[in-house]
Amino acid sequence: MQPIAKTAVFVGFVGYSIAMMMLLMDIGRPDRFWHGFVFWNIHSPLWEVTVCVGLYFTVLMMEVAPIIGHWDVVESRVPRISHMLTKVHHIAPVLAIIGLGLSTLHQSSLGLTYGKLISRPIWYRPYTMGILFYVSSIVGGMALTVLITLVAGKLTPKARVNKALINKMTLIIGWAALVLLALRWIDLMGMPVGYEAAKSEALQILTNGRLSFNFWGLEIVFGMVIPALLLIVGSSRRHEGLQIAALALIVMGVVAFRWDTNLVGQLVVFGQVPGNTPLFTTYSPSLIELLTAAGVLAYGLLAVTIGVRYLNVIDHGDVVEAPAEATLPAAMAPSSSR
Amino acid sequence: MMMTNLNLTFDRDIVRRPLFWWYAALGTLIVIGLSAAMIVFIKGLGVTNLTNLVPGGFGSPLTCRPLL
Repeated sequence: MQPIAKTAVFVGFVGYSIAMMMLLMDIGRPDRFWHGFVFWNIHSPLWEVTVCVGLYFTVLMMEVAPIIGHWDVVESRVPRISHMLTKVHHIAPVLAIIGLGLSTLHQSSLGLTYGKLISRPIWYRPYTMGILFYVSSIVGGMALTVLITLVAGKLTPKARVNKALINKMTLIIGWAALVLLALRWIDLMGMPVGYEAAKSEALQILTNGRLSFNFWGLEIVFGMVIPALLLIVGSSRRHEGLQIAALALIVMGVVAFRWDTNLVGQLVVFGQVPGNTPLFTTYSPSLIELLTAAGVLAYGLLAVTIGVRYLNVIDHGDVVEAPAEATLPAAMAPSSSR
Repeated sequence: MMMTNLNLTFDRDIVRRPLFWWYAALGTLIVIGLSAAMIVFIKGLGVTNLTNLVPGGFGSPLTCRPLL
């Protein structure tokens, strides 16, 4: 799995820079983005997410430093800086452990940010929201990394892809998608039966209303069930086109899960006031939101293109796969096989 | 005095490469995205139809109605 770690680190770096740009757009006062780091609110999960994302991005920058250090241009023109950057590789195991802790903390706390809000009954699942967000981030991250690897391998010879390694990864991703599906299903089915103001209306919107296509189509059927089966069944997993399609569907499914979770709690507006009829509203992104998102995604694609072409972030060339069965030295082999 | 001739001819073949158009498309989208971001920064999130009339910010009392 080691060769894909370089790709995972780079994709993580690009992904988190995208996330930070989008957050900067969304916080209302972008000039105050630094307040979370200075004015601590230790009782807020959102504060924990802010600090962990900032620290994790720092860890990712340090993990990407050796990749920049090995770039031909840096090595030939500024060898001292190249040497400094590549030296960071010595602390890679420590960075990996810190990164794992920080990413676990903020992905699960992101779920808890929703899950602890009593005033939004559909979100109020303090025990399961954190787990769902954490597992979905693992599934989505692995699927996106392998998807980018496979697509780049098809487009340019600069991306050297080890098919056997990808085959193993996609099998793991298939099972992980099924685990996510099971958790999502158990979480929804485990909700108490009977009317509860705002929660029942939100469930209606999710399963039989405006979000039902997102939920049943994009999230459950095409986002989890079909791609998981495609990746678990050996014959379809070995077909590269189906592999790419299944991974793209899983990424879409994870995005749809976050989209549905976020929207369903906000579309029911006044349900929390006792005695009031719950009201609902609609949402579709405005043009300016779409243009901003397109710009940020274009930055991500540009960064990945540059990474693949110049930084060799997809290079499984030196990998020697372990043989399927251990071979015995000739002297130890049974006489019948000699 | 010695003069150095700089050869600044444009490589016409570059526009025939798909990668050129890929970079051009991404560059255009980034410029458009930055322009949209500047509008949000200058005018505020009101330009995205966000309001402070209802909790959550989506819609307004006029667009909110009973589900059934």
